[in-house]
Amino acid sequence: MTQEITKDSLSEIFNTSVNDYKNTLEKKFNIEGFPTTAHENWLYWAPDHLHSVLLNPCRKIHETNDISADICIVNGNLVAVSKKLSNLEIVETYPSGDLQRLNLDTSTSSISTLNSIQSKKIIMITVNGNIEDTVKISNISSCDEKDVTTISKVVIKAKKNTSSNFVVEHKNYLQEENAVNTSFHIIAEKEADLSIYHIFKDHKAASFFHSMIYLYENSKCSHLTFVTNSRIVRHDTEVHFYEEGADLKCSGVGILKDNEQFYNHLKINHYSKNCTAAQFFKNILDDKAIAEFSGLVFVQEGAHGVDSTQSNKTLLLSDNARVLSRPQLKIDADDVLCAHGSTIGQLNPEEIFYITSRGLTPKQAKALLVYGFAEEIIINIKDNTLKTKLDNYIKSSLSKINI
Amino acid sequence: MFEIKNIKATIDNKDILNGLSLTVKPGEVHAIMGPNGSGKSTLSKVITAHPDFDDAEGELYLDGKPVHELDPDERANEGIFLAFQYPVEIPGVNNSEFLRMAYNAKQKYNKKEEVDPFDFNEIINQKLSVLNMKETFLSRPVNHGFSGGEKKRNEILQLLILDPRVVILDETDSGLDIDSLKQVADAINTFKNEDKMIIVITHYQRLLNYIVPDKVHIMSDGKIVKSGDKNLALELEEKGYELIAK
Repeated sequence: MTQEITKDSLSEIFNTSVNDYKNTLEKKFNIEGFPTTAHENWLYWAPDHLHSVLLNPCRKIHETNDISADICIVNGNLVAVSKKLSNLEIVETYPSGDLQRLNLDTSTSSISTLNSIQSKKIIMITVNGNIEDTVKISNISSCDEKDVTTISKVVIKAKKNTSSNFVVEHKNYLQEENAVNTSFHIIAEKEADLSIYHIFKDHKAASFFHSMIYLYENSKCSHLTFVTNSRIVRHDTEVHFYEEGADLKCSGVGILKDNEQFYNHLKINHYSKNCTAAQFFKNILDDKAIAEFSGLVFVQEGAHGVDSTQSNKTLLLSDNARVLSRPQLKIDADDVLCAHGSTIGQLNPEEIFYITSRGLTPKQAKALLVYGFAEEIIINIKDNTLKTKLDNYIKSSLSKINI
Repeated sequence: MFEIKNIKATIDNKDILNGLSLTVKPGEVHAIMGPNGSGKSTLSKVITAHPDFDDAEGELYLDGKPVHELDPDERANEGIFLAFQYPVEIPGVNNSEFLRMAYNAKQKYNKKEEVDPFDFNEIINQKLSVLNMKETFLSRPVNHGFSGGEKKRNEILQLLILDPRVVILDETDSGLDIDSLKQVADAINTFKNEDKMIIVITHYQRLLNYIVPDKVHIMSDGKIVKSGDKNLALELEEKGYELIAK
């Protein structure tokens, strides 16, 4: 049902017309169909009740804006760009030429194929030089229609030797009966250094989010996902280490309560030598929340000297919360260093006692431990403003959890 | 005055403390020594209300005020402090922030004004210099990734910040090299005054060379079987527990 993407296989439709290209994708989608729980990657939840919604893209352009953002995207359309941005080129374009190959993301899921089919435009952001300040992107979904899906597709291309940081706030103002289908393609050219942080907060409608990351020689990419107070988030990440010496740090925090669900799937494809990847994901679950982590590290033949790790830790605050954790390794090369691990646990009474023995109440002690659990990921963010923002989100999320 | 009266504690139906009593007057340092399994660490846990010993019997009084019914945080805020044998790691929580929270919890309990991070920095920097600790120590997560010696010094830093009346040092000397041991002992001696009551739990005489006790007690089978002055520790070092406890 799925096909591996390699640099060479992309040339097949590299220069076909938009119509031919869309037809190719449609054929693929028709063969694949919607995912069901019979699929390995959709074992625990599939969007059975959302088929008609996902096939009904919202075409309305709302005049919403977010003046706090440098780049504002509404329902896949570029609505505002800050004039103060430099070293950055931002255009709305159509999926032709080079961009077609980026949309060959069928190996993540058929929902991302659907995203490519339904995307009228692509927001293409090119980093041409070093950018000191973090670029804020507001990706807004807003529609007063029912049973529709908002579509957005963004490509961020960090050119050779550039350095940049992006924070993307995915603002979902849709009601429950709708859906959001978003794709972000990240390209880090030779020696580029790019960080991107995605924030999903207060989503009522189901969110399908696809991250495709393409890494070239000695490039560096930090990728973080923060999910809280959102009903259903499905995040598929596919990373392609195309050239030697690239480095990826992929992390995330999910803080879920009530019946919230977060399905997090990653596939890390190592094609090249001497690349490093570290995955570190944490979830805090209360009530009847469900979180899934499924991470596959695939080291292909000849990709010697790879160092790839994955860690998934979950803190269960309720007996009714569920976590499904599947860290996996597939190694077809020699001389590689790979490790994976998963822990699931509750708050440690000895840790609570230690904190209370310093004068804090048991409630404060538990809150501090839960905060510290999430903070271990956030602490690595270089941008202090963003770190403070996420800190506040964590504190706000924890205040809603019955610790 | 800190009074421990007839403390009894069991775990898994096994008696650990069998009616232990002890009185520590202000300004005094008491050393409690004893073989493994004699109940020394259990005593420290009972005094600080560890949940494993919720059903412990006996009474505790601090300056005549009963504290045995209080929860761990309340006892801490009343001025009882345990320097842990194995301090717990709290990943993700900044050491300085944790210390300030603990400091402010005590301020609030005592109806005093809480301090902001700026003012707290001044307080903490004075204490750091006593322990010859670097400021970078504060930005690290609490005990996370600390060496054994750093953890013990961090316990003493907490002690200096929280300024308790009653201090229990549970094998604070374990895991410390001789230089660190001396630094920690110097810090405790700086802290010591006529108002403080210190209980030193240790296996070895060496800590008592630096923190000189007024009284030494030997524990066996959950109670104090022999008490004396600082020479008792020297005698113990020479003859061993079996001979001395007879």
